[in-house]
Amino acid sequence: MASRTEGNGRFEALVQRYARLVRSAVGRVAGPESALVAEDAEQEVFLSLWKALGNERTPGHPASYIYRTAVRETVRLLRRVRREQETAMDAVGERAAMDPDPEARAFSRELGRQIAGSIETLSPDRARAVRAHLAGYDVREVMEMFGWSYHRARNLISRGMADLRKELARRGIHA
Amino acid sequence: MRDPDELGRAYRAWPPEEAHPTEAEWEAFATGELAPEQERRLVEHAIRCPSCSVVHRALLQLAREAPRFDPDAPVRGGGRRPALRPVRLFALAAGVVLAVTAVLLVRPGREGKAPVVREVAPAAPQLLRPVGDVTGPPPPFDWTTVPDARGYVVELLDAGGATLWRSPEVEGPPVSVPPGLLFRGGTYHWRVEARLSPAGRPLLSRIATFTVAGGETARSGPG
Repeated sequence: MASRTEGNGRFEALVQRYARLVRSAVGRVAGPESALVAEDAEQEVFLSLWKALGNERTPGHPASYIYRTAVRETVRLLRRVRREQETAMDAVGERAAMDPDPEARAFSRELGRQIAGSIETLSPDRARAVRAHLAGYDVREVMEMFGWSYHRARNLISRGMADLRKELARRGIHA
Repeated sequence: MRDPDELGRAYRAWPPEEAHPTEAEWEAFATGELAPEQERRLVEHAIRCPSCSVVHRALLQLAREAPRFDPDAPVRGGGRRPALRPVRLFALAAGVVLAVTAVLLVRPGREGKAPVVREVAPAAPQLLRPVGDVTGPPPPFDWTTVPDARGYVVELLDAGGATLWRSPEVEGPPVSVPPGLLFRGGTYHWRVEARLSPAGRPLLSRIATFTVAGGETARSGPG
């Protein structure tokens, strides 16, 4: 009985650490806006993991269940963060307040379209590096995603951004 | 000159018009069960799509950090292979039968030179230590070796990913950093490049992270 209790304790500790990791990962990528999902996100994830695992609480082999459940909870939590951000912005009209000038909004979308088109003209690796950079990935993530060295990742981003600016200038956009 | 952030915002305001990965696909990605082509498509989508890029980045962080406290986590690129599905198991069994048949068919006489059969591409080195929280002097860098490796180079990076130190090519682990190099309190990353002989493509390990408690810790000792 003692070992069963001990096993459950280890299992609970593991779930708790996964819950912290999920909260940390979500907070890191969703930024300050993730506060919208409430301060008790960690406890919420812990409970979700605990419930989702249901009868799979077998302390001998819990790892793959907990990791997989943590992955699912991360995806769901981020989707929820995004939905709540969109709902909040729509509800109070913040979207319009943040970008009050319809002309500026239209220009931003057109710029986005031109950027996407310009990236298509870059060499494949520079295009990947630039897309990842503009999407918010840091150098380390770019290195890891594509198996590049630090210097290669930095060079591809730097040269790719220079190429992008040249192509935008050719299209009459001075970026 | 436009603000680089403005370019990023404008780029993110123009998401691709294509289906997002499903929850099952994200799970398969995080556990390393996607086929290379599927994984390539998922990554190409994520770097174009603002909402998927945050999911992707969070899962990369999960896969990177879970093994610190859970060595059995079935992370992508980890030391543990995902469970084989029945189709893959059948394909593997068929492959083994074919390979054995091929070896038997081309096997020379006892005096002949045995043919060299390369069955699979070698796996990248797995980083063993230091990882996670380190108290006191960090232990020497240790990793699993790779068959046919001529040597290894260890690269130590700071928290921002800048290279702090690269070792000369060494025959294998363990490797200590040179005396005098200090670890200030903070986060460090490291990885190992296996150089295959005679002139094979280098194999890069995944990046491991360790955190040194506050203050400075002097490293010394043999490499």
